[in-house]
Amino acid sequence: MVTGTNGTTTNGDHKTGTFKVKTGLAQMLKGGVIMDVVNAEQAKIAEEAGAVAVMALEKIPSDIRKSGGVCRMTDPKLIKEIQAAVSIPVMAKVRIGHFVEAQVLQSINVDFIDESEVLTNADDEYHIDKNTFSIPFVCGSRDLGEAMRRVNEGAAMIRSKGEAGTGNVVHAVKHARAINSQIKKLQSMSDEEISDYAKEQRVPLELVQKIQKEQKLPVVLFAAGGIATPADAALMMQLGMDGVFVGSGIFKSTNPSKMARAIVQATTNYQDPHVIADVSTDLGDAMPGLNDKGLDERWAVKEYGPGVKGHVSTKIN
Amino acid sequence: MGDRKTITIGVLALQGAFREHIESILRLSPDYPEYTINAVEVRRASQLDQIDGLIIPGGESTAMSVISNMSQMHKNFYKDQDLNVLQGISSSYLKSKKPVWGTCAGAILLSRDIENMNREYMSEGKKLLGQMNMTISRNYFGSQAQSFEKDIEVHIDGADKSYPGVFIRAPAIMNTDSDVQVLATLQFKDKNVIVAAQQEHMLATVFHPELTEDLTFHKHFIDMIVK
Repeated sequence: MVTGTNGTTTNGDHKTGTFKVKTGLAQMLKGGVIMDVVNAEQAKIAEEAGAVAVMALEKIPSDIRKSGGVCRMTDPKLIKEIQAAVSIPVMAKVRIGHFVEAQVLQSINVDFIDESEVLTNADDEYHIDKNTFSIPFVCGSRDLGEAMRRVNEGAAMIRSKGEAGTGNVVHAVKHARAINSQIKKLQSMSDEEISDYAKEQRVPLELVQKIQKEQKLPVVLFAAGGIATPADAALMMQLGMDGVFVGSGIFKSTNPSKMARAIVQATTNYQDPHVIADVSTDLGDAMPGLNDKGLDERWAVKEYGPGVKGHVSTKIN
Repeated sequence: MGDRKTITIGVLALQGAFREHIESILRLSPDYPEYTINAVEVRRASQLDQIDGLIIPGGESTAMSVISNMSQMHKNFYKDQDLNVLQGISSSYLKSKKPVWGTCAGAILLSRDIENMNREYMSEGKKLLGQMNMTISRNYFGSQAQSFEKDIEVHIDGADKSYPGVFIRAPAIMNTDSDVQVLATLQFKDKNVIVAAQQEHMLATVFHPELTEDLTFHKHFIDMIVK
């Protein structure tokens, strides 16, 4: 058995942790809804509502916003309880740059790690070198450059950042549109411009060329950050996202089970307004929601250090 | 080229890797010059009449079964036959003996007996398809950290060949009745498990041919339709 530095373990021709199996799991989640849950009971509700995976958290983002303290990885005990309760994949979050939290989650067989701006940053300069892990990572992005830097570090899935915990879909829409339009823009760029763009974004030229040619990211792209209703989920799907993450939107609504089912149905039938109308009917109250003016902190800007503009490969400042 | 026959392959599109199957099928189109090959996404039972073959893709089997059951919520808008696409597959499509192929989650839905599945998704009224005479065990190889790639030996179309298997939180087929033909097995921790099988018009693979460049299984499936 040979364990490589790239997260791949080879035993004869039996290979684990390859990029194909990491991105492959993300492919299987497409068209689905991934739900934030804080205990085994919520995880069961999510599974029964048709979630394709759950994100195990100690607090959902809207409560993290209220708490104000340092937010860290979830207690492994809680994650294990959730793993025992459901048979769908279980994801969990680590702080940006906190590779030891990631080692811990890998050791307890979490299926996917979210290196997340929703938690407090652990490293102001570097993201985790995700290529060295055998389980897949999802990372948030606001634009194509950020998405490419995360993919280059080994992310197997990208999600829009949006603004988690707000119930306000505006930032998720902005990020989804930015990524899509920047991919389209590559089409009209000359070889020279592509080369300059790769340098400016500090990513390998081959990655930009591949995206230019295939007109899509080399990994699955989900929507996240502020999705609170079935119509929000369908909106993100119609904007070309492969699936959606829903955080506070479900368990902060008045009828979580009904809301969860409705969002799943709207995601599957995103092009069918009749279904979306049907599932949106008599749903009870969606989560209260928070407008930009009420935000103490913008999580989406977390790739940058304070007051510093511009992009640096795996560095944040 | 005047009288080319058209065949339409439906891919169940409730959730999962359905687009990759459509792309793989369409890539084989030049191999069948006498046919026009279509591949379409299937979400409703009423579409099942219009297809000649059905692929049930990889994804989450519990999610697919729940999503299909929930379509009963929309009876205001759709005819009775549209209520539940999995029920439609089970009650009419499979009885017509038209070919069906399940990959990973799809293989779970096709199996008669399922190990390691929450009973709630198998109780009456929430039935999976259950028509291949075999026992399948969900997440047999472990969680995502144990997902793997491995070249496997497959016995298909009268020949033995090596095939690039991609196993993602994959199930394994533990045993089959005598009417099920075993197409591939795999040695895993001292146990020989079945990873591909066929029973007449029904094909099951626990790995993901739609994630590889090798189109052997997609070709085999089209052959099941055109023969």
